[in-house]
Amino acid sequence: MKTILRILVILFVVVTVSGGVYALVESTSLVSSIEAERGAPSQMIGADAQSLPNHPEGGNDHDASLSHGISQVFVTLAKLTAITLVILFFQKGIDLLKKMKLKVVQR
Amino acid sequence: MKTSTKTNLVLDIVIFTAFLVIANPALTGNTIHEWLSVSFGAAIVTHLLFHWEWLVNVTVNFFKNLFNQSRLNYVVDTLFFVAMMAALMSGMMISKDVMSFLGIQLDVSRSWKTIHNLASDSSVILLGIHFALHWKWVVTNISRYIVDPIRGMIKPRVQRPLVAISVRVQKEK
Repeated sequence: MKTILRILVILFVVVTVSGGVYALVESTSLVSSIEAERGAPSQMIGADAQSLPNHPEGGNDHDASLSHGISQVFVTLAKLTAITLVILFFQKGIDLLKKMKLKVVQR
Repeated sequence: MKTSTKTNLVLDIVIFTAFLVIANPALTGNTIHEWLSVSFGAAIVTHLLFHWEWLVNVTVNFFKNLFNQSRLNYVVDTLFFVAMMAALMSGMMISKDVMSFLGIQLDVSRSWKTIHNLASDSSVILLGIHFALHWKWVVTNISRYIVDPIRGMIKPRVQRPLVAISVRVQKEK
């Protein structure tokens, strides 16, 4: 019961955040000018409708390719490593500064 | 929900691996990318449930007495959560497989694609920061639960031979 309540709280936060993002995107200039010209906000249409507009994405821009995919994974790992190292060095620097300050105070 | 460190570590490794796969749709193709992202949401909920006590504690005491490190962790985690939700949400908006499976067709603008990329890139950066802030925990537990057992399997402990010790017993008079 406790866990279900917690899950509901998390889902509520998820819905609130997602709703916030949606409202922000739809109400600001982030929406493309093409959409603005059309003058139609995003609509949900039943999948059974025959005359559906084409999906804006179109094409298969995410075709699976193992070699390309693995290289991309390594790129992501490299990015993560770089960010982690920067933060760790930054933390070390702050620790060193604190220690130096302590030494000065002790003298 | 009380969980062991080992369970937390296993879940975190699963989430990290899933994140790497999701962040690179070229690896799996669009359909798996979309469905894996949806199930990733469930993994995030489980992760939050595992750390519920910490979450509630820091939320309540954010402006009170609190370690700066915890406060920083909380801010980074919140931003990470928002970035991932934005990525998930925008992903749904440009979805080809999940939404059509659910019988929903969205007429959306192209800008959702841009937002999806932006949110995904932010998620990678924030994951790096999140990872760095928990570096000690990660290193300690990976060495305890993964590296040490593997090392133990490769280099089995040398069993010391039993040594006979002579004991002199004196009879009481």
